[in-house]
This record gives sequence, structure tokens and C-alpha cells, in this order.
Amino acid sequence: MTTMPELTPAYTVAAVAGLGVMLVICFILGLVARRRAASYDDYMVGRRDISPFITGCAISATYLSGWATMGMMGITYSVGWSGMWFAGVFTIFGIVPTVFLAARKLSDFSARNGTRTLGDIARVRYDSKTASTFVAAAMAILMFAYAVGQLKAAGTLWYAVTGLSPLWCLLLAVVVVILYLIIGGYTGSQWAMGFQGILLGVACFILGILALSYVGGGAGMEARLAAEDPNLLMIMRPDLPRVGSNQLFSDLIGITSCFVLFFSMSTGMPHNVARFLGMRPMKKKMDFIWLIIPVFAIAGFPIMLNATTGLCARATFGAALFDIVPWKGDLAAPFVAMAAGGVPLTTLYVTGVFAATLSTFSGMIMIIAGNIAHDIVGSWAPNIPAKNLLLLNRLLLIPVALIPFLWTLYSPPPLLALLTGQAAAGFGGMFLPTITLGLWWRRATKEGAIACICYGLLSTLIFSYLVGQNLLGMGWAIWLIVLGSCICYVVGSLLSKPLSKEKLDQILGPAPATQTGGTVSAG
Amino acid sequence: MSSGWLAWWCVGVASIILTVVGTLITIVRWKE
Repeated sequence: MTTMPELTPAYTVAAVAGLGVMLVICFILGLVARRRAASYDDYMVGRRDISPFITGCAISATYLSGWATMGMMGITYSVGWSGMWFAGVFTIFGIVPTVFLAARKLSDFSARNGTRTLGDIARVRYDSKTASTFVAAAMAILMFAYAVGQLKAAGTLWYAVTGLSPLWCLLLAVVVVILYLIIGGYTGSQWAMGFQGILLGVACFILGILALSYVGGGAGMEARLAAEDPNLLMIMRPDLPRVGSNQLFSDLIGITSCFVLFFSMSTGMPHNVARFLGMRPMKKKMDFIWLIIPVFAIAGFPIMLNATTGLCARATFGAALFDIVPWKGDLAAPFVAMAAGGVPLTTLYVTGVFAATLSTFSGMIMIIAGNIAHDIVGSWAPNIPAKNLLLLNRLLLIPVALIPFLWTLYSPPPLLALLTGQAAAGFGGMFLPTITLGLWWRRATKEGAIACICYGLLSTLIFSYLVGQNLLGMGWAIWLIVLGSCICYVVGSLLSKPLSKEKLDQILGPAPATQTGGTVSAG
Repeated sequence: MSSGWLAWWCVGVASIILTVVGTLITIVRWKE
């Protein structure tokens, strides 16, 4: 077993320089975009002219958060191979269906109806300001929890390379995000996120390979794990409790729930699918190919390697990281980067994680502020000038970013992946049906959407509490949140009256059967 | 090969199949 890596000034200087270079590039992209973001529409969705390739890189960056680039390693570091189900091996099963289901539909819908936010989409799709307000409010609530995970990742990183106190580490993280968002708006964010997506994919891939090499390859890693605790080699851990978050590693309900979580959450995550709102409409088949290539290249094997990087950290440091509070197992990846690749690898990895947290956190903060300014204030007070809404939106960025900052400072989650996982189940349950499936299923109604949002939000809050108290397994919680929300959506829709065919044709376009002259189906 | 690596590779291959097959289906059904 290796001793802890020694933090020398070289790490701090190189990491700060790496972050500085990345931020300068992002700020330049933001400033270029700022000259063009003259209206509120420009600020929120750009000019709907972002290429599919940049959109593919950007959606990978928003999807792959601090959970993916740091939390996943913390999970396998803590429980061994059985953690890989929750630690990203199913990532592609979430992000690729998102592209299939949502990319063209959302992009076309947004262009056709002039919608700027996901709350806007709910308002137009269900012809209901109430549905839009429910969607906007529920999104904002869950996003605060998810944002806490991003801030913990960024704070952990600053600690690993500077050794500063939690207050300074978190403050550094949050100030950078606010500056970057005030400058850039959607277009700036989208270009910066595209760059960040490429960076984090490269960083995770190289770290994964070098960490494996450092511990003597796959066999060497497993030999060291077996010497410490043979249970670390099991792909399911019946020795762990079947309640609380441990259920994700200890039985089949937990493991299968990880698949359900990844499948539903990517399409349900507002900061993900919002990336399609500013994409130029895809006309040709090659547009789709250019969208899917970066998504697979970034979110595929580079992220699958994160699970093994956490195992390499366990093989290297044993259980010693659990003693370093409040960061604990989340230090697995930065410390193994320091041990396996010294200053160059650590700088690359730190820059990659920072890119991941920055893109996800900024995507969320922008959506929360946009939801409040546009979907709640703007929707119920339509006479407010667009210029004032833009100002309100920018001002809201500060309080909206401060709430997760205070939460992380005073009550940091023990493992960031578990908190973000609970919020992600809520995203999947509520927004996969109401936003994405609503564009495919013409029979969906506002009553179904509101029932789905109410159940999804309440069940996420209640089940998360029960999981935290070890009264319920997290696997059961994920199944119940996602399945229950979908059932509420379908049943609520079937029991209520849909929009008229003319209205649906106007907002969704003609039904496929109508276009070909065939019979219009009821669905 | 251990059960951990076997499972890891199985999921990786399934990811490739999902992406390739899904892309092919999307392209075949594409309407300009």
C-alpha cells in the first residue's frame, strides 16, 4: 500500500495554471458570444445556430458532472467492483437514448414554437401556465440538491491541490461560475461547455489508463484488492445492508435500479436537454452522425474507466482516505492522479473535473434563474419588458448560486454521488415523461403532467428521507420514483381530455399518419 | 478473467451495440 501523496507547491501552481488557461478560453468564448447576445432570446437560447458537433460535446459536459468525474471513483473506492453499477458503467444507456429521443424533437419544437426554456415547452405543449409553473418550480428545487454535489466536487478539487479551508475552496468554485454565466449567456455557455466536454473526456480516459498501469494492470489491481478485502472483488455485495444507499451494491433491486436511474435521468435532466434548444435544426443524416460521435467518444469508455480508477485508488491507498473529512472517498481520483502521474496528470485531471463541475453547475444555475425569471415571473406577469427580465435573470444568478454554496459549506454530503443520485431519480421520474415523452405522445395532457410532477417531487423528498434514515433501500426508492411518476403521467393523461387535433398539429406538427394520408391513430 | 472485468466488458460491448444499432435505425427512418 502506498502512503498519501505529498502536496507540494508545484501541484498548486500547475493546477491553478491549468484552471486559469481553461477559464481564459471559456471567458473568451463567453465574451465573443456576449457581443451577439443582444436580446433576452439570444441570452437564453442563442440564435439556434449551434452545430450538432458542439451540441454533442456540450451535452456530454452537462451530463458528466462532478458525480461522473469524481463521485464515481469515490463509490468504487468505497465498496469495490459492486459499486460500478452506480459508478457510470451504464452512462451510455442514458445519454445515447437522450439523443435518439430528444435531440431532433426538442430542437424542432423550440424553433417551431419559439420556446426558450423547458418551462416554456411545458406551457406550450400542455397549453397551461399552471403546468409550466409546476415544471419550473420542481426543476429548481431538485437542481439545488444536484448543484450541491457539483460544488462539493469543485471544493474537493481545490482542497486536493491547495490544502485551503472548505470555505475558501467553495468560495473559489462559486465565484468563477457566477462570473462566467453573467458574461456568457447561452451561446457562451454552449461553446465553453463543448470545449469542457472534450477536455473532461480526455482527462478521464488518460487518468483511467495511467491509474491501471500504476497498480500493475487489471490483474495487479485485483490482487491488491483481494489482499485487503476479497469482498471488494464481488460484483454484488450481499454482506452489505439492503437498506439505505447500500442497496445499490447489495441486491438485484439495487443494481437494476442503477440501470433505470441512468436510463431515465439523462433524458429527464433539464440542463441536458436544454442543450438542444439552441441547436440549429438537423436537416441531414450527417447532422445526426456529428451529434452522436462526440457523445459516444466522451461519455463511453472514458467514463466507464472511472469505475476502475476508483478501484485503483483503493488498491493504492487502502481505506486511508475515509479519515480525511469532509472530502473522504471523493479524494480517490485526485489522489490516485497525484500518485500515478504526478504534476502533469494531476493538472490535466483537475482541469477536466473543473470543466465538468463548471459546465453542469452553470447549466443548472442558468436554468434555475431562467425558470424563476421567465417561467414564473414572466409567465404570470407578461407585461414586464424583456429587458427587465434579462436583468432579473442575471441578478438571480447570485442568490441561486449562494444557496448550494451555503448548503455545501454547512452540511456537505458524505459521498456526493449519493445525494446527486437521489436528485437524479427525481429528474428522471418527472421530466422524462413531461418534457420528452410529451413531444412523442400526443394523448398526454396537463393533468397527467401535473400529477407526474406532484408525485415525482413528493416521492423524491419522502423516499430520500427514508433512505437517509435507513428505513428504505435506495434501489426501491429509484424504482418507485421513476415508475410511479410514469404511471401518474399515463393515468392522469388518459383520465383527462387531450388538446384538440388542430392545436396539437399547430404545436407538434402534423401527426405522421396524417402526413402520409393514412388513418390518424388515437395515440 | 474475473467477474468484475467480465461484467465491465459486457456492458461496454452492449453500449457500442446500442449506439450503432440506434444510429442505424434513426438514419434509416430519417425524413429530411
